[in-house]
This record gives sequence, C-alpha cells and structure tokens, in this order.
Amino acid sequence: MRWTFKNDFVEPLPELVLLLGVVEVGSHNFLGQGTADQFSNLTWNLDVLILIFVAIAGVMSYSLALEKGQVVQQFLSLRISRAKFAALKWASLFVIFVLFILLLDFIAFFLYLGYFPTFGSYARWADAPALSFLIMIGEQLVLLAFLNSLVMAISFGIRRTTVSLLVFLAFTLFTAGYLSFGSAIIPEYLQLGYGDYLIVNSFSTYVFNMLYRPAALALASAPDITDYLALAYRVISAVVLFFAGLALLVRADLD
Amino acid sequence: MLIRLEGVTKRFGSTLALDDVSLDFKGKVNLVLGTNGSGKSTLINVLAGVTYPQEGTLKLGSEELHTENRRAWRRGIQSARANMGFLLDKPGYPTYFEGRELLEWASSKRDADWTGKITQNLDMTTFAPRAIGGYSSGMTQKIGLGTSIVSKPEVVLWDEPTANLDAPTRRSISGFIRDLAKAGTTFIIASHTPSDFEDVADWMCVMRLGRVVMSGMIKDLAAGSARLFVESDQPSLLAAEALRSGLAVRAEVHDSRVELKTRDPPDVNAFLKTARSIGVEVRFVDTKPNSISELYAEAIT
Repeated sequence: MRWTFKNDFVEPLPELVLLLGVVEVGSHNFLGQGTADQFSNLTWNLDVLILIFVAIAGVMSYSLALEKGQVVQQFLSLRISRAKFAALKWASLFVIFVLFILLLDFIAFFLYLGYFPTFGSYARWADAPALSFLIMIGEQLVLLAFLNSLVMAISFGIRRTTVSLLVFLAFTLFTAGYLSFGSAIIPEYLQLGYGDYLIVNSFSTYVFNMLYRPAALALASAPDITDYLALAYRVISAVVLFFAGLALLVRADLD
Repeated sequence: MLIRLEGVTKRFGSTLALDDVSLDFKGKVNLVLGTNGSGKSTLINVLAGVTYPQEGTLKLGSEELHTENRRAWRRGIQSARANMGFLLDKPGYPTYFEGRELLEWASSKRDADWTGKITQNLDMTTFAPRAIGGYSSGMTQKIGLGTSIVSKPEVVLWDEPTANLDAPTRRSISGFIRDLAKAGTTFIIASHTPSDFEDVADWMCVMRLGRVVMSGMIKDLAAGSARLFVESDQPSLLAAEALRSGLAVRAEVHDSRVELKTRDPPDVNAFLKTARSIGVEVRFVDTKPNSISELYAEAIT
C-alpha cells in the first residue's frame, strides 16, 4: 500500500481528483424534499471522474509498473508469489479508491445536510438520507471493485500502458450512462453511472419501506430482475476479472 | 541450498537464449560469466522465476521442478523465493521512495544494525534519505545491492552487481560476499567483469551464445593450466621454441620477460632443459595458477 500510494499515484493526480470531485459535489444539490433519490445520483454525477481516476491510477499501478520492471521488483523484494502480489496490489488500490470516494461522499453528506441525522423512525422517505447514503456507499464499493478488476485484467493482459489505458477508457466510457443522454446499445441497468443510480434507488426505497413502513411494503415496488442483473453484472465481473488478472500475471513471461 | 539446472532451454521467438543448459552450482560464490547476449541474465531470470523456460529441470533444495508441470515449477520457485535476495539486470525501483525507505520496506527481518551496516559500507549515508528518482546510476545500483541482502537471504542472485560502481564500493561488495558466504549464503552472480570477483568466487561457468562452454570449481579449473613467467636474454627465441615444442599454448613477450600460458600444469624442469638446448639463458622463472579472468579469456576465445 505504501508503494502504491507513494509511487503509483503520481502527484498531483490525487489532489486534482479531489479538487474536481469537490467542485462536482458542490455544484449540485441532491437534497430535493420529497424525492426518493437523495445522494443516490452522486455516483452518477461523479462517474466520468471516477472512470478517469481509476484508469490513470490503475494503469500506472499495473501496466506502467510492469513496463518499468516495478512489478517484478515488488514481488521479488517482498519475496512473495505473483498471485499474492496481484491480490495485494488490487487490495491497496481498492482501499485508496474507496478512501477517495468516501472523502467526497463525506463532503457531500455534510454539504447537503449540515446536520447529523438520527437513525430513529422517519415519517417520509426524504427524511432518511443516511439510509440512502449507506446503500449508495455499498454500491460504490461494488462499482470500484468492478473497475479495479477490469483495469487489472486489461493491464496484465495487454501489458502496454497506452493501449491498456485506451482500451479501459474506450470500454468504460462507451458503457457509461451520462446525465444528458444514455447509450441506446447498452441496457440502462448495465450502464456505468446511470445503472448504479438505478440500483441505489430501487434498493433504497425497498429497504426504507422494509424498515420504516412495513405496511406499505406490499404496495411498493420491489427491486426487479434488472436491478439484480445490474448488481450481478458488476459483482460477477469483478470476481471473474480479478481472477483473470491474477492468472494473466502468474503465467506471464516477464523477461 | 542445492541449485541445479538440467537441459534448460529458453527461446524468445526465434532467439535461443538458453540452449540445453546444465549447471550444478556447487560453490558458495558462483560466478556466471559471458559476453553480452550470452544468456547470463536469462539464466538469472529463470532462477528468479521472472521468466519460464520451455524445457528442462530445476532442482531447488529438495524439490525437483520440470517444465512439463508449469504449476509445480511456479510454486517451487515461489516457495524458494522467501529465502532469496535479488538484483536484476533492469530493476524498477520506486522513484518517489527514499533509499532508506526502500531498504526498510524490503527488509523482512527489521534488523537496524544490519541495515545500518549496509548503508555505511556501501557508502549510502549521504543519499539514503533522498528520493531514488534523483539518484545517479551508481547510487541506484548501491540501493539495489542493499535491498538484495537486507534480509540476509539464503541465496542471492545478482546480475551485473558491480556495474556503475566506484572502486571502494566494489571492494566493499567483496567484503559483504565474504561475510555472508561465511554465514551460509549462496551467491549466484552473473557478470562480464570477472576481475571484480577474483578473491571471492569459488565456482564459475562461462556462457557463450546460450550454451555453457566451461564450468566447475575454480581450483579444479585453474589446476589444469597455469602461467609461467620467465626472464631471459633472448625472450623472443624462447617464446617461439616454447610454442613449437608444445610446452606453451600462448606466449607474450614484454621486454626481457616472457609470459607463457600452458594447458597442463607447467613442468619447469622440462622448460629449463628446452631453454638450455637452444642456448638461451634463463634468469628467473615463476609459475602462477590461472586467474578467473584468464580462464574466462581462454573460454571465450
């Protein structure tokens, strides 16, 4: 983690991402009274920033480090297997990505609310931002795991920094659902950003009703198959791509 | 630790980097010599598990690894790696780390005295607190050497360890090699400058175009041939006669001195008899066993 944060995250990348993130967070107000999606579209607003951040940091940590001989140096110096190294690198990057997004979430939370919410009973959905916020964080973890695994598999598969960066950006930006328009080819629930927003919305409403209005649960709409498909797409892809990345590094001839 | 290669072949496309290489590293300080492109670095990379050969067997301690079973090969090298230290040909150090930070990061034993000794003896005290990105190639090499031995490994693999180093540091390295070898560490050192390891190496091999052309314990290799230093009134005539009669395989004349290289241990009496027979006066005779550099030069010419 020390190597990853100090050497792979070249300044001013972290500072720049935080600055842009704070500007993005501060330029929107998601606290619409009576709406059911407080904070849930924070990920959607930040998706391009998240994609570019993961692309640059990921490609530097995996692909560029491989080209510069730093991957070999790390697993040899630490006297560990390649698979263990890849898993540690993945975990280090994941923790750093999560810390960054949590910092932005934290800023957003207090910027919009300005108070500590009580976790007692809520009369209205719009009064329960903490719940929506927590579900959004859970979903962000899944998204970051997916993107981290994707950039690892691409980097260890291609092993050329520029090409890896382009392939990752091409795939993620093509499959991202932007605020102004969506891709007609990719189903909405699979789109990065917009799909995440839909997942958070569905599950937030469902969990809110389950916790605070059990009587309305039967009448309210539960998450449907597309929500589960969207979640499964991210989780399964994260796991499959993680093991694919591991296998690619383990078998690679690094001379 | 027993380290033995049998029939190891490694190809990069159409290039044959290692051609049926069989080596038994029997020494404590094993020297792999060869010119550029002879396969030394590939050999070190195979032992480090950085690259995988297409054919061959590797014995590491009690484990015998075959290329047919790739998974076992990878696992065998991975488990051996826990007791190894490495300095590769093109190391990738973290440019934003300080030198001392890298040493600390790579150390599994957290032995401050040992780390301090490395820092001092490799003359890194002044630059160790600075970021590696600003180092000269010599400084970077020193950090690499320090990193490779900071955990006091059982086996040390070095590729061109004296490249870019100043003379005092080269001498310090010999000291480290001697101390660690005495404590039980096995060294495998790839180099094309054998003179840096004359005093410490006890086993050597010479590689050429991916093949092993000479290997064995240095005392055995050196015993088979020697150098004869002769001072005479007619050195050129003496040199010519020594070559003609087969007493020497090479002769070099420097003023009144002749340096003769023999294939077998030199027979001084036979030589003096030959000199007398052609009427040449011999004033001084001395014999020296072949140095590593001599053996290397002989193998690659």
